[in-house]
Amino acid sequence: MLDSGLIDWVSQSQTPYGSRTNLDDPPSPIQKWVLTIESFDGMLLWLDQNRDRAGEKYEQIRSRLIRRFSQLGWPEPEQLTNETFDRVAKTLPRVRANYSGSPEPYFYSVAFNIHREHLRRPIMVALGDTDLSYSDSESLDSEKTSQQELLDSCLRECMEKLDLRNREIIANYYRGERQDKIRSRKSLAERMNMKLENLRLRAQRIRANLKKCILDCMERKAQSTANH
Amino acid sequence: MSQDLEQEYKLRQYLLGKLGQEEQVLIEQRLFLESSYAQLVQAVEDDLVDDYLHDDLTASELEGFKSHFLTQPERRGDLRIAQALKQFLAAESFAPPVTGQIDEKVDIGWRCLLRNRRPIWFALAAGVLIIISFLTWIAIRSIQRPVDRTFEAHVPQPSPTETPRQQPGPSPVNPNPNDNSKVVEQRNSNERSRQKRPGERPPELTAVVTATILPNLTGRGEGTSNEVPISRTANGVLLKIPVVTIRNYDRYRLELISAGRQIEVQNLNVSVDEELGRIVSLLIPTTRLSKQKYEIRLRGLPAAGALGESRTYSFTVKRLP
Repeated sequence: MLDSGLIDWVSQSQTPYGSRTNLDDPPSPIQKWVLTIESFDGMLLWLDQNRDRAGEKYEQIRSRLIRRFSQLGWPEPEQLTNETFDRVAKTLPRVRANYSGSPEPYFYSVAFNIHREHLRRPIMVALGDTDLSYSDSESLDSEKTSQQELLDSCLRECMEKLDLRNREIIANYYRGERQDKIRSRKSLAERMNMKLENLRLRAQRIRANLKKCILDCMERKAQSTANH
Repeated sequence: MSQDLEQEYKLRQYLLGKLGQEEQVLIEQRLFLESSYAQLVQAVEDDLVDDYLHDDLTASELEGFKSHFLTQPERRGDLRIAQALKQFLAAESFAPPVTGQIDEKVDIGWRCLLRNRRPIWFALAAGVLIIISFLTWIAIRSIQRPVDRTFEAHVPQPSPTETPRQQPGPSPVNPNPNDNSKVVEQRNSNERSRQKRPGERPPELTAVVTATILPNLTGRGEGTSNEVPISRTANGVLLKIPVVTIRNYDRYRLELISAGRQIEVQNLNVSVDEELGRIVSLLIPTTRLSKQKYEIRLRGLPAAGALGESRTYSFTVKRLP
């Protein structure tokens, strides 16, 4: 009934740290972690004290994870599902002592973090890894300056690509401070004949597309520079 | 609504690392399973980044933002992009302010006009506005003034357009029909113009009736065509034709058509009439007009290339006893 092959499966993950509990921790050294019979049994036991019911729950979670990873567009949903179980089993000894509530959500929580990790793209890491002191006044060295110039030029390029209506939404939705911003958004919503909540989602969608365009542009330009 | 606010507040706390483990797990479960919820959390993330950039976070939020939210490289990337977007919008005045802000921010509107890198849009918009205004003005004029009053009085008793001859001299009627910019002086004479013969000087048009011919406006129908009443004493008709074309030309080709046949073709210069604005004028002997309907087709004459778009005017000649 259980996927016995999973027990011998060796995690290929290069970031074998847990889901959210590790977000604040420094990255662990790269290591291979093997799912043992003991850790797998421990995971089943956590799902349910009754082994048969635990097996049923495991299968339910497994099929739901595969379906959802597939819906999210991942080409190998089984592999991500295995990675999820692998990580749950690995982090369980640390988590279960303080964990209260049903165990199932934890599997999906881990799956969410795996999904998010796989979404990260190299260019975003490069952009994010520039050291921010979270201050506008920090002077940038030449590398940061060129990075900033690249970002600015791509932003400009992508803003130009937006159609007039979307550009108007972005420009007016994100313009201004505090009261000005609120007033501007209300006025924009009235003008666009939209509810404020819908306008917000629309602005967020445009912004997400803009971000994607910027990242694509930066990646393209960075590759082009590297080739030269 | 309050449920939404509560949900957003919880998401905000989640993103700042302020929730307990169980709540955090439940949120992440929803984030994985529900796409719409993931979209909402993205909106809350954007708000957090914007609030940080505008110094709108509380001290506690700021601490969570730095120590938890920004630990993810992707979010640091988002912050960089948001920072660049903020600076870009502030520097560029990228779009005009929304309608409600126009009164308060007229200066921003002007800056937009001056700085916008697409002046073509403004030029086009201005052009369209001018044309619409002009057409509206003409339409209003034609509605407010009965057609027979658009003609500058030509009935005998005595006709104001039939002014007495002041002094002899060359005819002020432009011998070159292409140049209609001069004011036509009307002379008192009962002599009727005759048909022009080869080698013969054009007849002196001494009693000229002036008529304004308005363009055929969409929806006005046939019944509203202009009437040109010609008194027995008049020997010439000066047709003033307002130029209503999308593109302005200095010269226009005028075709006078009757019963489908061209009876006159002239290239005319544009002049400016105090009341009507840009016009072309056609002076034509009354002998060439009979009691019937005429059509004028006006087309811009460019320095080179094809003629401009065609504009049609129609009028009906009416003989007064």
